[in-house]
Amino acid sequence: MEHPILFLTLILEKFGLPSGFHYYEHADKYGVLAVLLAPHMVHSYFVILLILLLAIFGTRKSEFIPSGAQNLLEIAIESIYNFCKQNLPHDKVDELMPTVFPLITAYAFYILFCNLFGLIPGFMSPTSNINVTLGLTLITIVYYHYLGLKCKGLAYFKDFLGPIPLLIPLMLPAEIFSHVGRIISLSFRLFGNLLSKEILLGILTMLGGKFFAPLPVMILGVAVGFIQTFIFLLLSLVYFAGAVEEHH
Amino acid sequence: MRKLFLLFSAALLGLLLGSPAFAEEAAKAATAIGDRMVAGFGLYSAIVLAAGIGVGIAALGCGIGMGQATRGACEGIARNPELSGKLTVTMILGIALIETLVIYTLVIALILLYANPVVPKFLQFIGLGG
Repeated sequence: MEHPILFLTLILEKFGLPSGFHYYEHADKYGVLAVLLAPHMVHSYFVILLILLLAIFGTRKSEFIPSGAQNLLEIAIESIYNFCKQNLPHDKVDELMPTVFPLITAYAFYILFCNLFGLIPGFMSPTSNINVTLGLTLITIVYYHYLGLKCKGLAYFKDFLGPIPLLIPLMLPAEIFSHVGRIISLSFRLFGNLLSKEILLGILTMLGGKFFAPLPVMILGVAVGFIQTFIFLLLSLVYFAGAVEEHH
Repeated sequence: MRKLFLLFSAALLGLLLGSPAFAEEAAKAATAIGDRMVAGFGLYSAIVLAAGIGVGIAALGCGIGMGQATRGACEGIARNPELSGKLTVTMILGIALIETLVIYTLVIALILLYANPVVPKFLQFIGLGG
């Protein structure tokens, strides 16, 4: 398969590091560094660096009446805070907020920056690799099971059995299947959307790059980036809420 | 409806009658290795067909679902224009969730086309790939 030209991996390659698709596919030959410096990993590091820089420069001069970058950050953080508060169960908000809110904020910035990063020519979206989205999903899955066990103790497993004792053999496989299906659906949704966007951009660039054919898809890509971030956050919050809610 | 049925049955008949004829022609022309090549190309064309038709059917269902969602949102906004912001957000969310189903099919199609786990085994079985 043809590989795209990625500037970050090219720069690292100039320094003599085994970074790029070519090395990643033959990782057994080039050692663990080829896996650590795989294209999606390099772009992921760069996105994390960007977010850190934004956080540092946005909060360096914190004023009572905000302006510039601080203003933008405050709007973003406040809207995420209200969004979390709306979607978590009302009686558990104070208990969950200190741990769930930072996680959701980190998700929001990381996924949004990753999604929009692929729109710059010469860069790729780290989220268009299944390993990245599967990692993000596993954090959500492990964390909501942990929250359920923490809030309800062993009674958490009663949720898996359904409301009526007679229906346990029917409900238990269905519940387990739905919980396993969440891993696949949550990770493949993000991955498939971003991958289809990247492939479409690549094909259109090959066919009519001279005539700016990829531009409409890029506008669509911005919308897809925001919407998929929003959906990932919403579903994560719904899973957290579902794990801690009392079923009657 | 009757026309559609006739067309469909004619197409089916054509497929049924057509494929042995093509196979016969191919078999006449082919030597032993060529026969294997025909089998391999048959597999590839089947994979390409499966990917294309699968995404097409998924997009059909998705289009119907998206149309329903948009109609509902439009009617809601027409009745109560004050709620248009909330309704639009909900509609976009629902549409994105519907669209996901096509994306799943697309992922499966891409796996079939680019990372098929069956093809190397099949090629080994018919003696083409190493």
